[in-house]
Amino acid sequence: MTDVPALKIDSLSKSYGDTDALTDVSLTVQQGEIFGLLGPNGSGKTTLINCVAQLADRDTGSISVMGLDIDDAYNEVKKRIGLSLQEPNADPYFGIRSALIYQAGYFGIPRDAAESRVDTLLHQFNLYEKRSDTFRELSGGMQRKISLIKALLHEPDVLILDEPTAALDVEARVELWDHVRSVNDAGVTVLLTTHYIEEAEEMCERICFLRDGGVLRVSQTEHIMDELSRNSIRILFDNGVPSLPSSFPEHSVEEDRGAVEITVSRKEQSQRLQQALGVLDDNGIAYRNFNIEEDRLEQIFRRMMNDD
Amino acid sequence: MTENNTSWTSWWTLLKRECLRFVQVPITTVVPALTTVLFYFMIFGLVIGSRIDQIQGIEYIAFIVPGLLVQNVLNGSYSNPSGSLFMSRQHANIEDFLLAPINYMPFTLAYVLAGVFRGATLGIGTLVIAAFMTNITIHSYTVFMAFLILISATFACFGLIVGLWAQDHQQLNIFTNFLVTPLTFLGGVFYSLDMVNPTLRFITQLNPIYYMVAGVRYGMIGFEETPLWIGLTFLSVLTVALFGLAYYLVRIGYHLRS
Repeated sequence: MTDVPALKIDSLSKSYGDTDALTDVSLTVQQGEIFGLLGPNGSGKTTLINCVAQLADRDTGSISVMGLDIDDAYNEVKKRIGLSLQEPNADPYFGIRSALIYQAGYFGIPRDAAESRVDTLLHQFNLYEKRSDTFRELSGGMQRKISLIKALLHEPDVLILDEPTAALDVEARVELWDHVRSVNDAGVTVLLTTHYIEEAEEMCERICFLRDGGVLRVSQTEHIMDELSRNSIRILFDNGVPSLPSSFPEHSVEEDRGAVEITVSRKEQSQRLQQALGVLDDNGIAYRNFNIEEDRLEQIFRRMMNDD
Repeated sequence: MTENNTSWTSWWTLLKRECLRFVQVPITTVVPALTTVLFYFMIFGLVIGSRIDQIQGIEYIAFIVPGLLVQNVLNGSYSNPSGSLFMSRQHANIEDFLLAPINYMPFTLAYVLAGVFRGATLGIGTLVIAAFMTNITIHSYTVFMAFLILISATFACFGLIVGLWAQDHQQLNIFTNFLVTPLTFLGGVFYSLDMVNPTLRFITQLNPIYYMVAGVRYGMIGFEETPLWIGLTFLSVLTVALFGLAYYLVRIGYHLRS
């Protein structure tokens, strides 16, 4: 593994008529990481992916994959990318095994090697028994798996997944993510978009928030949680909220619950809790107990999308 | 794997897929065209044709074989790329090809050659059916093959362009219903110029398909009604122009990339 980024996007802009889909987007995805693109519908996630995969022509900016410029090394870049589209599909005229063998052939894999690769992947994804079925005869979860197999057939360096678990039940989602993790463990860089924020929180090492075609923030998932979370420390008292000294951290009073609430980021949480409890002890103020309500990425995402 | 091997395998796979696609669904791609031509032979050739005098010593049913052959060849060549590309765009599996490292020229060539292959398949089927009705003769193999190859290539290129352009089924069928079929019927498939009045003769002579039918007719039965060079020149220019346009549209990603 080298220092060459898996994906580097510089000042990418793309419009459809009068609508700006992407405006001056720059980001870098390092080799081997799982990188999440988050944003509401229409934020430009799919357009960005399509520009990288050369399904959409960009207006300005440059894109390189594994150090290769997509204009200069047009076909070489295609071999380095595996894309699982938002709407899974496969050739409707053939059974899935044949359709996948054709797909491998489009990437220059000779017939014998293609058959072997397809059979291996069908076994790996527990779909070998369905090899003669057409794509439409498969369940939604199976169709998603086929979409992933298609993206993996030519052993790409960068796997791009556009809403890979949309409309899947929990079991199918977990299974699919297990496959993605094992692919990533084998050294493949993963770029994904998802509507399930908790998945991004769990899966992604770094996250890019997109809104209205622009990048709001790119950061380590942990850093985002540390800095932007608003956790609630709630300290409960037995006989209503007592008068608190001015050294007590900034808080709000919940009279009906007999509690005070201190809102902090995850980074400040321990320090602020110790400070609050210390002030209470120093002033001989008794409290019943305390609890901490942790913010999730989902809430951070919502706040970021709603902030002006 | 070298770059050349990859390109060859990619191109060959796409060509094979485009050819086998229509073979997979013969009920919609081959059988209707051959059934129709069988009825043409039975009705126009045997039933009505038996009441029509010979044309310059040629039986009427033998006279219409070249025209019906051209009709099936051009329809097959046109339908394959137009239908396949349109359906791939509708089903969104066009991305399978767009994501793959296939250059624009091999992409265009694969669709055109698959169209030619379907045209040839229907042409052979038409000749087999005709062989049961009349004697099949080839007066000049060179002229016969030259015209058929150019006809199928022209209409395959045209089909590719329409397959890219059409946004719905209505647009897809508009050229077949309102251009190709009427021109074919008015292209001398069922008549020679001296069988019709001056107005229809004039209209027929303005019709490019007439020169295609005339060329194949000469190649098969030696019936020469119009100079062959007109048809050959026209078809050659048209093939090059339409192939150039099809390639250009593929290259700019017309209705392929957003």
